[in-house]
Amino acid sequence: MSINCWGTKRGILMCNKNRELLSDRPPVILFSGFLGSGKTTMLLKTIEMLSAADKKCAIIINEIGEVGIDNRQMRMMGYDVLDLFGGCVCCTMKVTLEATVNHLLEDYEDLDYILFEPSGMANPLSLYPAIMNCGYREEEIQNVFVFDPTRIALYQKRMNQLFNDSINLAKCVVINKLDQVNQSEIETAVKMVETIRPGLKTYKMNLNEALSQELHQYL
Amino acid sequence: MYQEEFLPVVFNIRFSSNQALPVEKWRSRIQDVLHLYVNQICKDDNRMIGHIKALAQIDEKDFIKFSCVGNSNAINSNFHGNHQDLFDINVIINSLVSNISEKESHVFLERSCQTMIKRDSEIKIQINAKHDRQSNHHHHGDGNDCPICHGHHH
Repeated sequence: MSINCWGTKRGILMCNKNRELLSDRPPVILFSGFLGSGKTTMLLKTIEMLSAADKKCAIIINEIGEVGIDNRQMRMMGYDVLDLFGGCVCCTMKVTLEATVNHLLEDYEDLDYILFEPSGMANPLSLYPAIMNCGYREEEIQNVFVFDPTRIALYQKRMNQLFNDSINLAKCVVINKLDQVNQSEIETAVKMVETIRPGLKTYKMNLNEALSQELHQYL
Repeated sequence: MYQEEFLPVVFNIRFSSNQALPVEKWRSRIQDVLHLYVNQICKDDNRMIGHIKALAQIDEKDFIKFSCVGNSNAINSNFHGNHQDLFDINVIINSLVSNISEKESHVFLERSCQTMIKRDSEIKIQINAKHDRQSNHHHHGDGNDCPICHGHHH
């Protein structure tokens, strides 16, 4: 396997606030989206795609719970994973994430990409400062928001702020699980995105199948 | 904040049998247990399933992953590896549900396993609960609230 995954335990490395910004940083692809939206599936598809192109990637996964399911799955699939358990998804993880990204930038110079899948409970807004403290500008973070259209009502009623924040930060939206919703629900999902960010690119697909050619090219 | 609505609970379950059973049978039985568990959770409209996922570890490389989102009780599963017959299989469940205590979650899972054992006398199921409340460890200065969550941790 040409891809390795890394993470660090909380607090192992701290960044030097005065460190110079890197001019040739590997792009960060952030997979955002609520619990169960399909982020891990999207991450795995992206790894497959980048692996086929012989790209070297670091993968950061944050899961809620003492025992991670996704990182175990990745280990079993042959990836080398160190866990990133960060306690509170917002504040504690901010420091851990910053240390992890700095570690990757300093110790792995030949990285092509950093792929980051936060917990579905994390608001992406709370993750940006940590990444930006590592020298990234907001526009350099390729935030792919995975939208589960089976949970439209949840987003509209209970997770409205999270949805707004997510869409405002996203570079594109993947509307997943097309096989589980009807056309009207898909249209509602698109409209919800367009209401917040007119013109934001949306891709409609079933991530259990394959990345669409269009998204493939975008990534 | 919505983060504190969902309680993460992790269970470690061992399914075993006196005879080697095909992976597909284990897959079906684990799925049934998860269905029974989800059914009990969904009896209370105030509860919401954030995500219930489970990993059945067949060997070092092979696994079955289960995922349930929302209260529709649809449980997806994906098998990765080679088909084989097994005497036992270890399953880790990560349950993120709102308005439920760890004790209630444990009771629901225990009932689900008991029901399954009654349905299929070939199998035995043993649950080991893992306590996994998140640490409240902070990094933003003693005595200061987190600027993002203002102290509302899990």
